[in-house]
Amino acid sequence: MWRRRKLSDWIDDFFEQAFSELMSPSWDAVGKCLVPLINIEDKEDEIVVTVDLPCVESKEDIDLNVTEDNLEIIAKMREAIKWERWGTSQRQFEFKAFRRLVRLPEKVNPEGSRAMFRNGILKVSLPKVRRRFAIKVQ
Amino acid sequence: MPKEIKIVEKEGIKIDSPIIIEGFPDIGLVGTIASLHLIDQLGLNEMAYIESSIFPPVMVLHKGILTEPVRIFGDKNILLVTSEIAIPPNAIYDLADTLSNWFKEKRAKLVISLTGIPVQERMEIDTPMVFGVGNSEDALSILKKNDIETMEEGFIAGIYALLLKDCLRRNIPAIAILAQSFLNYPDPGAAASAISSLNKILKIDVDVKPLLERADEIRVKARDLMKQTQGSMGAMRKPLETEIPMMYH
Repeated sequence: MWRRRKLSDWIDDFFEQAFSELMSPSWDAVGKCLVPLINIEDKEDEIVVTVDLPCVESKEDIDLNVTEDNLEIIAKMREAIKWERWGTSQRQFEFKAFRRLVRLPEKVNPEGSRAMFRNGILKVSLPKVRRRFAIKVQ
Repeated sequence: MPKEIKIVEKEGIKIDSPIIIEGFPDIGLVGTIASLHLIDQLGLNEMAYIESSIFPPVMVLHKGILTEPVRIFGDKNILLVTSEIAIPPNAIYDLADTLSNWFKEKRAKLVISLTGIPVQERMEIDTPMVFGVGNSEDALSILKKNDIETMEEGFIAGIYALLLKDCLRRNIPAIAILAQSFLNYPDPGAAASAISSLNKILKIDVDVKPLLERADEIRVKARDLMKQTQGSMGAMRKPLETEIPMMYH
């Protein structure tokens, strides 16, 4: 069941991720891929991952692979993004795609997952495997 | 306590009674993206830079020229303060104090901060709405006169909140323009909305079309600054902006 969370919870979750995000590289020169910015929301019944995918034209350019523990996002850009002058060893680098493997905070059911793509933002909703049991208060 | 932050003006620069625009990295990088577009469209030149021992030990290279990352651009009427690095939370109080002192010294007519306000449903919004905050009756009347909806209750956090307060202490009218924005993704659409409101207030005509046309490229190239900014926003108590004050009425 989809329940709307408080905006403050959403923001708190985001800041918890911020530090680990800061320490990870934003590009992979060997694979010519950029690592997209993501946000993971741990909701009551599902994990929602939103991904910033600028320069990606349509949903047909996005491949998603989901397991119980991971979400892999690969998205092709409509044209390569180039940095003509960048540092020393990274001169004239160009990137043609986004790629990121996201470790999910809880096990999910890949078959029940759904995704939508709008205005360059991908939203993937992954239902949690965890089952809940009602307990009768004695 | 000695000031740890210094504004270094370029030689021969004369500044008198300017309007000041502030666009530091914050929610959705709205202020920074808007600032870079304004510098380009208004043809603003570097007038000063800000140095501090409490900033990270970072310099930027542009076309091989060593540059300070926190700079002030301008012309004879407008000054624009912006940064290419996230401002460390421990520098915010001194930076706001130093800047507002300098604004007073330059007899600033009005200080305008451009920033974002996070909305969860931003993905569904085509044209972000803009809200305003003023530090005095005079400042609020500027917003009302330009049909900018004002924020009536709530917390505001970050350097723009301190600038509003510090400018009030120095009798400088100051406003903040807050555009609905993604929290953690660079948001050129929100920056365009903020500039459209600035156009109304300053009676200028900065074209936002080139900004929107380059939106994807900006979003890609601003990712690292967005990541840096995420790290400092938490310490600035940005989550408070979503909470309701106890004295709500």
